[in-house]
Amino acid sequence: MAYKRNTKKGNNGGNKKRVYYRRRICRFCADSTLEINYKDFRSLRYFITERGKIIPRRISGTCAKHQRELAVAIKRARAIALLPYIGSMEN
Amino acid sequence: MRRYETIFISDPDISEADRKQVFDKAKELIDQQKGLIIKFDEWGLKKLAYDIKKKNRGWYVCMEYCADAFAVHEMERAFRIDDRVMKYMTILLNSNVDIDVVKEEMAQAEAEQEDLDKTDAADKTDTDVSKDTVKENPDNQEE
Repeated sequence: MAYKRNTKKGNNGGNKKRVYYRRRICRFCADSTLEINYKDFRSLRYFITERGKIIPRRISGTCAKHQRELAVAIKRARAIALLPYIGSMEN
Repeated sequence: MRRYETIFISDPDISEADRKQVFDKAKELIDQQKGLIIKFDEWGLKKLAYDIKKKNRGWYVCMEYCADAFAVHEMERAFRIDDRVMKYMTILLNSNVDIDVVKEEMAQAEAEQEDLDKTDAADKTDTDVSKDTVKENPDNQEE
């Protein structure tokens, strides 16, 4: 049993080769004129999901430094009701 | 001196006079603590991302100023007592600024603004006629 299981796992791992491996470029690094500001909630909206969650940098491709700044900006915008904590703006 | 930025949301349903009173009080408190108001920017009525005090709209005001921590403390205390202010947030922009430098910057910015206004005024005299005709049309349609 144990032997079989091991082979199964091994097979699955082998089949799931990381197909998608494109790394997006951090848009703030690419364009230095862009500034992260909590008051500019319209552009911050690009970095949150429909539900209002912050999009992780492995998906958005933002670099670590700018992701930290973004997170602070989004949290500030939330605190002053420019962005929602939960849910979309439309409801 | 520290440089701060405070955004506060005042009740949208209060009268103009009441609102002015709230703003004046905030300004006065900073003045009392020998602070300097750099910018007082009214964003006006905006939709809130979530309800505050069962209201979905708010009157946003953004003010930038130089003051000590005590002035901020006093102002926030006043905001908490005053229920015409729904929410506020203060952010530290710079923990060590020279007030004279800031004043100079302000004077410079003002001078630049005046220059801009002058050029704008000069432009306007040229284009006044065309602008007026454009403006009149939508009015007529409304009537």
